[in-house]
Parts: sequence; structure tokens; C-alpha cells
Amino acid sequence: MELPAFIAPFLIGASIIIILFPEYRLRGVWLVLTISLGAGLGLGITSSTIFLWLAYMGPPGSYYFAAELGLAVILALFAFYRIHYSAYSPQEDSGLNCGAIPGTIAWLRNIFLFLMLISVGSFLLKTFFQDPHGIWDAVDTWNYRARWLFRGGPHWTYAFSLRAKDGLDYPLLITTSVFRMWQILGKDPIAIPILIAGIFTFGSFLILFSSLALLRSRNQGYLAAIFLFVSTQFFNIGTYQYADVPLAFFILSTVVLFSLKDRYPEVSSPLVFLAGLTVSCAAWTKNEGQLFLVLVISVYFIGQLGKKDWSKTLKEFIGFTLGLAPVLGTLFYFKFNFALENAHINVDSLKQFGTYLFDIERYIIVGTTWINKFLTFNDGIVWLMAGYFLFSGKDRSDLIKKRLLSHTTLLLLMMCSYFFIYIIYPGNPRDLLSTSLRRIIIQLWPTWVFLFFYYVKGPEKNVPIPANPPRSF
Amino acid sequence: MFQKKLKKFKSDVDVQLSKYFPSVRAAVLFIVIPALFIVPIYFFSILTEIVTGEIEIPVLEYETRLASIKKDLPANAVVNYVSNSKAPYDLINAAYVLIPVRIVEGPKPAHDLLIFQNFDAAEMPKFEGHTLKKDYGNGVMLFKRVK
Repeated sequence: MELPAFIAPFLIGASIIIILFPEYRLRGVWLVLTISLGAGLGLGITSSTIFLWLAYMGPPGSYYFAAELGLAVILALFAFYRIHYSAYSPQEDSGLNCGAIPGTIAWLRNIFLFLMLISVGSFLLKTFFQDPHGIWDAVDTWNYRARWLFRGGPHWTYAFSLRAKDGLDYPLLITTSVFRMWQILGKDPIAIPILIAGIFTFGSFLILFSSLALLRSRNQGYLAAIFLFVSTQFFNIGTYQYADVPLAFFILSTVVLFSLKDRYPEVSSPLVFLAGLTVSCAAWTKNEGQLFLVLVISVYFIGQLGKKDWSKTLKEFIGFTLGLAPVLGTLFYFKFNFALENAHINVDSLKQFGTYLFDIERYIIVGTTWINKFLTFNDGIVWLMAGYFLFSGKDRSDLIKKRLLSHTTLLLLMMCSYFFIYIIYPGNPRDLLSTSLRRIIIQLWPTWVFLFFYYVKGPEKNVPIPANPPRSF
Repeated sequence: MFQKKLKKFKSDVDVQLSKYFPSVRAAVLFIVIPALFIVPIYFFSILTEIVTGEIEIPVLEYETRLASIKKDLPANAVVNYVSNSKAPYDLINAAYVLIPVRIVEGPKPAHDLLIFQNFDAAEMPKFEGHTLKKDYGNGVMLFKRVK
């Protein structure tokens, strides 16, 4: 019953991808990537449009939904035309054809499908029978606000009131996505936030699989996804309906899109446009996403100025900015007009930053807690990674090493930034560490898994790892 | 020396595993075998908790407790909320369930209506300036301000 509310976002997100890449014709791994990435992007875009409508026109009714559906249908028709046209027009081979890939290890694929099925069962049990309203942040912030937007009528702005100490300036992707679907249905069933949590949780698994299938091999994609299934803490946070998993989804998508850009430079413009969209969605999901946005620009554009042709970098940056603008514009509008100040960043706390920055004890507390948490995260899953690396070894191709450098730098900078946020936190850093460190790791975890499996040797034995993997999926 | 031993250990393991899985690297099993245990065990642990009733869903309990009083509260009203619950999420759960009613924690500043949630006290509480309007029988009471 609730699925029709998801049709428009899915059509919008998937159609944008198809319009940009019509030659893929929705087959194979590309179909998986289009569905999972398109679903997330569609939710990001429609959560932005419904908020703008709400802010300017009041609670959205049939006019809004007619406009949204109209946009979805137009984009879908255009996408259909592009697929149809590309099917009959001779094209220069972009290298991304959909030919069957020999060498898929059938039992590895079957295990992947089996674990996916079991995980779907676990997700349904956990969400519908254990925590249908989500946990803590979901009840206190994300779904709380969505309920206010839906039930509040003319008083919907109370959703951003001073009731809670935290979260006064939290962005709205999850909140307005839930509100949007409730508004369409005319009631507020718990199935909607659960559906959205499911889209981002399983979307992360599918993006991880499909991206590695494109960049390395299907077997590598299966193995990486199986590894993420073992990361039950990532899965748990997804069922809690927290915004950390959607943020992880967009961070992973962004790094994947930049990896695809490095791999397929001939289609860099549409890829950076999509990356702009995913980065803006990350910023629209959580405040940490805004930090991610700054670092993406620093690493992928400013950091490349001396290394690449500046005119090419500028062209890519323009494409990126075009993708960034719509959702980021909504975020700015929200921040300037509705969001109250951040509970932790104010004039008083800024005055103490200097003191905290030179407080060695804070470094010791934060540093030891971080090391301990990383080594024991998800029952010590990093040791499983270490074991795999020890026995498998790294891919010795220089190209892969080169491609990974900027992505690894980006993630390390994110971690450094998080580290210093704990250092300058105006309060006892132990409190913040105990409540947030696990979720901070979760935000970057799927991307670390992606980079790890991009880097290490694949599962296949006696298959030489090409410096430039076959251009097909 | 250590490297030599490690290399020998790796090759021995590889040889043994290659007998059973000739097409993949031994390292793959480091991930696949734990996954085949962990993911199903995780599923059955959730299922067991549900079947044995070892779970609490506070929000649903609050939905049930406060369902009757919600009907008597005007939409968007501001009401006082007092509770003797020691649960850390008591206020948040009540605020979430009662939307679009706005709740103010404690009896002051006094508003026209006051909700009291009694989880364990035997005596009827008294709130200055308020009188009991309705007792819903499940520990939930509605007080009104005396003018």
C-alpha cells in the first residue's frame, strides 16, 4: 500500500541517471546501480522540493503531488526516449557495455543472494517487531519532526522549536522524505520510515556490490557485499532509522562516482554532476555531510589544480556545482530561515576552542578511545580485514593505487576532522565519544570497505589482475 | 625469519584449501565462512527475542497508554506534563506520541491542562492551581487549571 508513494522519487532519481547514461540500457550491474543510486537520489530531490513547497505554499496537497508526478513522468519519458534512441544509433564504444562477464563464481553469488535474503528477513523482523518507531534519535529528532510536519497543520514550524537541546539545525532529508510519503497517504504509518531506512541500508549493499563489479569484477563485488553483511553494526544502525546510514549511503555513492570518473574519464561530466547531487544530499542528510562537502571540493578539485589541466578541472567543477546547487540551495534556505543555532557551536564555545586545542589530556582521551573503538568495532571486524589482506595481498597495479589515493585522502581527512571535533567539543569529550563514535565509524564504514576491496586482490585464483580491468560489466 | 615462516604458513594453508576450493584464493574463506555463521545467527537471535517476548517497545506502550487522553486534548494545545517514570526517554516518548499537542515538562509555568502519568505512586498527586478533570484508569490523569 505504501509503495506507490515511492514511485515518483524512484522515477526521478533513476531517470536522471538514465538520461545521463542512456547507452547502458538498464541491464546487468548497471541496472542494480541505477535502481539503488536512483532511489537515494530521488528521495534527496523530492525531500528538498516538498520542503520548499511547504515553506512557500503551506502544507502540500494535490497540486504539489500532481507537479511532482508530472516531473517524474516527463523525466521518465525523456529517459525512455534516450534509451530507445541510443539503442538504434551507432555510438562510439564508451567502454561500458553490458556484455556477460565470464568467470562469475556461482557459489559466491549464491551465498551473496542467500545472505541478502536472510538480511532482508532480519531487517523486517527488527524494524516491524522490535523497534518500529526507531531508536532514540529517530524518535527524538527525525520521526519527531516528520510527525510535526504532518500533524502540526499550520503549526508545522514547531518541528524546529527549542524543545530539544540537540538537533535544532539538523538537515531534513530523512524528515521531509517521511513527511512527504505520509502526506501522500494521508496517514502516518510506521512502515514509511522503515521503508526509507530499508532503501538506504540495502541501497548501500547494492551500490557497494555494483560499483566493485564495474571497477574490478563481479566476484569482488559479491565478496565486498558479503563482508558488509558481516558488519552487523552497520545493519543495526540502519534498522534504528538513524540518519547515519543514509549519510553513509551518500558518502559511498560520491566516492564511487569519483572512482568511476577516474576509471572512465570519457564520461566524467555526467559523473561529476551526479557526484554533486550525492554530495548535496549528504549535506541535506546530516551536518557531517556539510563537512564532507567541503572536503570533497578540497580533495577532488582544489587538490587537483596543480596535477591536472586546470581547464578540465574547472569544467568538472562547473558540472559538480550544477549537480550540487538545487539541494544545497534548499539546505541554505533551511539554515537561514528555520534552523536555530547549533547547540555546540556558539560564541562561548568558540572562545574555548583555543584552550581545548592545546589540552593534551583531551588528545589522550580521544586518541585512546578511538584506537580502542576501531580495534573492537563490530567485534573486531578489522581483524577479519587484516586476515584477508594477509592471505590475499594487494593489487599491484599502479593505476589502482593512483586511483585510490585521493579517495583515501578524503576519508582520512574526514576522520581527522571528526577527531578534532571531539577535541574542541565544549563539554566532556567522553560523553560525546560514548554516544557518537560508533555512528561516526558507521558513516564511513561502507566507503572504507569499498576502498579496501578496490585495493586488494580479487577472489579468483590464477586470474591475472589487469592494470586496466575489462571495460564491461 | 618471521617472513619466511609466514610465507610457508600461507602456502601450506593455501595448498590445503586449494584441495576443496580450487578456483578461489584461500583468503576468501576468511570472509565467507564467518558470514555464513554470523548473518543467520543474527537473524535467529532477533527471532528468538521476538518469540520469547524479550523485547520492550516503549513508544508503542506510550501510544496505548495515552490513546484515550489524546482524544480529549485540543490540537496544538500547550499542556503541562508530569510523570514519576524514571525511564530516560519518558518525556521524549510522551512528546512524540502526543503530537500535535505541545508539552511543557513540569507543572510550571501552568497551562490550562496538565497530564500526569503515574507509574508507581499509590497516592493521588496534587498540583497547585489544578484539579482532576479525568482519570483514565491506566495511570494517566488529566488535570485542569482552576480559574
